Amino acid sequence: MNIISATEMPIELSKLLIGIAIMAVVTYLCRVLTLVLVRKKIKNTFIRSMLTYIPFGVLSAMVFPEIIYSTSDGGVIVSTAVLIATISGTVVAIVLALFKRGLFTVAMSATATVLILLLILQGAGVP
Amino acid sequence: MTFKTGARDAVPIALGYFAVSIAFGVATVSYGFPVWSPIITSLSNYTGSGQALGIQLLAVSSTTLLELFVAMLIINIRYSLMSVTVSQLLSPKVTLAQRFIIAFGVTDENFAVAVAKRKELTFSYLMGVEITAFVGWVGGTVVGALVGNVLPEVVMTAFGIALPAMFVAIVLPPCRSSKPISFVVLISVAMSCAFFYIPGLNLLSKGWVYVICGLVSAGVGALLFPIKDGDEEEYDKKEKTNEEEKTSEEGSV
Repeated sequence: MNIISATEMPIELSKLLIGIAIMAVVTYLCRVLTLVLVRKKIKNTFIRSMLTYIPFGVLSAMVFPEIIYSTSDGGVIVSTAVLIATISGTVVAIVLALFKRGLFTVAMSATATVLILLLILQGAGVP
Repeated sequence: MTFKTGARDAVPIALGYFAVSIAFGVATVSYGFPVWSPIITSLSNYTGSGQALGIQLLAVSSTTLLELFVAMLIINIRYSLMSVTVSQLLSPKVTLAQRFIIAFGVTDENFAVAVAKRKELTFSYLMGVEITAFVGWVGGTVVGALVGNVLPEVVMTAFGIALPAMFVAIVLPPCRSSKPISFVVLISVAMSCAFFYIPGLNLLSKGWVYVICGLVSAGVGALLFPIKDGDEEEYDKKEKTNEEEKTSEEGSV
């Protein structure tokens, strides 16, 4: 039954297809240009050092503070229960990461913490 | 650094992607788009944040294709920073044609996992990571588009933290053995919080925020703690022992 969409399509089919194509091309170009154009090993110490640090800089900016809102729809915190559960999940992730646990352990422990706390809190009637 | 190693490293990514892309499939169909549209989007784009934003924009009929183009550029520009980092880590055996293939799968998570290896990256290793994660990404989208929410809502909500938690597991462990890295992380987090909470600053698009925080924190880090070739070896050695610990831990899980 899902084949027939519940609501009418908001735009024409051709615009949707062109839109998806634009999205794909822009995304690929952002990824491919520096990977193909910068092929030589960079010798400059400053740039080499910067490239070593960039993953940590970019990834930590993506995680903090957004992880607190990662379980909420569109970044708007919907309930106290979700907020408490997510902050606890974040703390669990940070502690396990500092004890150098593997990716899988950290990701699943954080998820389980959020899930269990949500079930408990919602069961207890926390809004 | 074989395909198998890569595939194994990408299992947590694939699981996280599966949950996230179910939500993407469900959302796209709920906007009124045909069921195949989220699937071809995931097949051709392979990016979470960009796809979600793009489809949201397309769902508003007044959005022009130029606006879509600019929005995509801004949200994806961070990938060029990631790709230049990956490029420096590639094994000399990787051919130009292989670089074009690798580029398609430079997602935030794949990048993070590959870079955290702190080893020369081979083509087969990267394919192991990228293909495994891609299966999760497309698989979840198909399920979300065709079947709808198969997981209870509370489970979907909880899975929202899986991928960010993975980043925590990548960023924090090296902070314990490296002062410069902790310094870079602290600067970046402080900046990112400022861009998130301070009125005015929080108007800047996420895409720019990631790039600015990444470049400034890494730049300051490179000025204060330049890594000379010898230092880098030292750092690699330390990291390798950590990794061995990690692998043995993972083995027992």
